[in-house]
Amino acid sequence: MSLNEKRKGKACFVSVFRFGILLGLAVVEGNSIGYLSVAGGAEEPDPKLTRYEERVAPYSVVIFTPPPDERQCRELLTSIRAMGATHSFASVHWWQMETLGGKYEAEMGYRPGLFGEPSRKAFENYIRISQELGMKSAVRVGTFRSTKGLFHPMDKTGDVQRYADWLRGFARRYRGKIEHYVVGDELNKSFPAWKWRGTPEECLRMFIPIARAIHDGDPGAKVSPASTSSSPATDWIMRLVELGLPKHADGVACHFNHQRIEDLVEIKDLMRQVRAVWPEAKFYGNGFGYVDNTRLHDHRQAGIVAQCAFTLWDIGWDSFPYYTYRFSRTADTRQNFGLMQTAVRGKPAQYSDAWKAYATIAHTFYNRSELTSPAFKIQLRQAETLAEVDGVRFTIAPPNPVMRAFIRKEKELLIYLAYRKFREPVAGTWNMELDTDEWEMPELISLLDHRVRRPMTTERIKGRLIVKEIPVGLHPAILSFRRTAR
Amino acid sequence: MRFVLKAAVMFVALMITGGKTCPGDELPDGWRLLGTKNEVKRLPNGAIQLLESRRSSAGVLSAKLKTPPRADAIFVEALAVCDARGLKFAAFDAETGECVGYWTNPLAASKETRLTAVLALSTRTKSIRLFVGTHRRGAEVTVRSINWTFLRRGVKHSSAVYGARIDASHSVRQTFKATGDRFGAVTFRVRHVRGFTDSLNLSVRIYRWKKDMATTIQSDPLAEFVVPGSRIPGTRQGNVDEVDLSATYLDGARELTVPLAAATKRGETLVLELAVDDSDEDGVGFLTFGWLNGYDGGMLYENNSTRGRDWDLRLETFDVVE
Repeated sequence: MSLNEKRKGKACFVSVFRFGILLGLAVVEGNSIGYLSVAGGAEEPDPKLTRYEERVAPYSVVIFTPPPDERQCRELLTSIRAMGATHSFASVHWWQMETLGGKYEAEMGYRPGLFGEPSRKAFENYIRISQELGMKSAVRVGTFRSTKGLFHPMDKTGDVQRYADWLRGFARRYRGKIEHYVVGDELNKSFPAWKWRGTPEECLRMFIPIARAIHDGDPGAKVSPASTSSSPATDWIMRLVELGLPKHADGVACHFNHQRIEDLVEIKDLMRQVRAVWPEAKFYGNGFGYVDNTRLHDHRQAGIVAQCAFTLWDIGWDSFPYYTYRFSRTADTRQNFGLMQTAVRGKPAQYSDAWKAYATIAHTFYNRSELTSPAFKIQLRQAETLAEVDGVRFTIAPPNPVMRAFIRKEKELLIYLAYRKFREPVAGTWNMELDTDEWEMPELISLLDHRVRRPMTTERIKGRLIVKEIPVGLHPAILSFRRTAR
Repeated sequence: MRFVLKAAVMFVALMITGGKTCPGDELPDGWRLLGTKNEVKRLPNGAIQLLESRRSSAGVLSAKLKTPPRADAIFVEALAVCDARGLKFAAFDAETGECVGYWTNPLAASKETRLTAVLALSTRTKSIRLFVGTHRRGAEVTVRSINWTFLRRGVKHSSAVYGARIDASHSVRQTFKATGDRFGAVTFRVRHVRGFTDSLNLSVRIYRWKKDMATTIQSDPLAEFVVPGSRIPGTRQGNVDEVDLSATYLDGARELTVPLAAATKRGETLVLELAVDDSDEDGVGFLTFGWLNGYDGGMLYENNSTRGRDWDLRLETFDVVE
C-alpha cells in the first residue's frame, strides 16, 4: 500500500495554504442548526493551544517532502497543527539531501536543482517551524525502493554501511529534534529485480546497521523497521522479534487500511503478541486509514477517518499519520483518500469534512494518562419505538454500538458512541442512563467543528441522569458532560 | 415539497408464506401488521398500503419464535422490491422488546429479488420476534415469502487488503472444517470489478474437499446458490481506473449472505467456491479477499506472512440449529 510519492512531492512544492478561507468552511450541512455558535473559524489555530507537545497522542500527518519555500512550509504546518496533530511525519532520502555530484533529478522525475542544498534547507525549515509550533517530528528514512535497488544512485556499491554512516550524521544534526525514525517502507514484500525476497532475516540484516547508526547519532531517538505491507503481517513481525529485533529497535510499524481497523481482532492480536515478549515496544506507522473520497465533503470519509483516529488512540497505538493531500492516490489502485486540497493557481486551500472530523477527534481525545474510567454504570437503551404489541414495547436500533467513557482530570466526562461498520453503515437513536448525580449538562460535540456543541435533552430520575435521543451512526456521537454544580 | 414527498406513502404487498390475503391486522402464522389505522390501508388486490409518517414504522412482526439453545444468529430471506435501505430485517427479544439483530438492505431491488441476510443475535433470548419492514423514513416496498432459519456461528476468518479476481478464467476457493451436521449459510465480501452491472451473476458452491481441489473441481457440489449481479455492488464511485486487478482494494464491497443447505459431517473439510455464473462473459468479474484462486501455489500471499491463520479473508460460516 504505497503512494506515488513523486507526484505528491512535486505538487507539494507549488502548494500555497490560505488559512483565512477556513473561516468560510465552518458551516456544516444540516448539523449546524441548533448548535451553539462560536467565535472564529473552526480550524483557526487557538493561541491557547500553542504547546501541543504537551499532549501525548498519536495524531500525525504524512508530509512527503517539506516545501522548500519557508512561507509555504509554515502554512502547511500551521494547518496541520490546527488539525490537532501532535506530530508530522516526513520522508528523508539520502539522494535528496546529498547528490554526491550526480545529476539524476530529471531522470527520477524531479525538477533539476531541487536536491542537495535546497532539500537540506527545506528540511531545516520543517524541523525548526515544527518546533516553533510545538509539534514533534518523525521521519521515514528511505532504503532502496526509489533508486532501483541502491541506497543512492551515485553509490553503486549498494553497501548499507555507507548509507548508515550518512544517517549517523543526519541523526546527530537533528539530535533531540526527531522523535522517531521508521526505516524503509513495506520491506516484507519481495522485489525480485533487486534480489530482495522480503524475509524477516533479510530485513533485519539491513535494519541493524541503520538503527545502530541512528542511535549513535541521537541516543534519544526511537527507531523501528518499515511498516509492513498488508499489515499487521503478524507472523512476519513476530519472526523479526524472535530474531532479536528488540535489541536493536524501539518498536514495530504497520500500515492499516480502515477495513482492518473496522475489525480490530488482528491488530489487537499483534499488540498482545508483541507486548507479551517486548512490553516496552512502540507501535508506529507510515500511513493509515486510506479512506477514499468522492468529493471534498464526503460524509462517509469523515466518519471513517474519525473512527480510525479514535480507535487507534483508544487501543494505544503510538503514531497514526494520515495522508493529507486530497489528490493523494495509491500507486496501485488509483484511490484518492486525502483530507485537503492545497492552494493551486490562486485558488484557496480547501479542507474536507474528514479533515474537520480528524481535528475533532484529535482535539478531544489525548493524554490517556490523565483520563480515568467512570466507576458508575452507564447503560444504553434503544430510543426509537417500533410498536407496542401484547404489552411489550418493541424498540429498534442496530445493537451494540461501540461505547467508551473517560473522565478528564475530574472535570469533564467524555463519552464516545459509534457503529464501527464501515462497509454497511447503520444508524440508531439511543437513550443513555448514567447511574450518577456527579455529572450534568451533556453537550454533543459537532464532529465537523470540535468547538461547536449542542446541549442534549436530559431527565433526572432518582439521581440517575438520562440523556435522550443520541444519534449514533458512522459519525461518532461524542458527548461532553460537566461536573454537577453543588 | 421534497419533504412532503419523502414522508409520503409506502406500499407493502404482504403475502407471507404462500401469498394468502390478510384480514385485519392478523396474518397467517401469527404474523401481524404494524402501523396505526391511519397508516394502514388494505387494497383490493390484497396488498397493504401503509401511509407512513416520517417517524413511524411499517411492516410485519412475527409471532414469538422459540430460540433454540445453541442459536446465536438467524437467517432471514424475503422476496422484495425496495429502495436502497428501504427494507429492514430485525430480531427482537420477545420478552423485553429490545432489538437484538438488525440488517438493512444496502442496494435497491428494482425488480423482485430474493434478499438474504444473517442477523447475529446480540444477546441470548428465550424467544424472538422478527420484523420485516421499515422504520423512520418513507419508502416504497413490496415484500412476500418471508422465511427464516436459526443458525449457529461456525468458522470465522477476517482480514484485510489485497484480493483475487473471479472471472471466466478464474474461480476462487477456500477450505474450512465443518462445525456442525447441517451447513446453513455463508457470509463474505465481494464486489464487481467495474462499477455496477446487472448482467453477471456469481455462483457460490460448497464441495467436500478432495486432494486436487486447489486447482480443479470435478465433483458435484453439495449445494449451490446463484447471487444475482444486481445484489453485488461495484466501487463507490461506480468505476475505478484499476491497473492491477489482482491487487486491488475491495472498497465498495458488501457483505453477502448466501444460503447453502447441505448435510455435513463435523470436522470434515469443505471447500467453498466463488465463480462467474456465465462463462461467456469476458473482461468483467468480481473481487474478493485472499481466497484460494486456482492459480498454482494457491493463495495470493503478498507479504511473506505465509501462515494462513491471520491472512486476508473475510468469511463466516453458519450451521443450522433445529
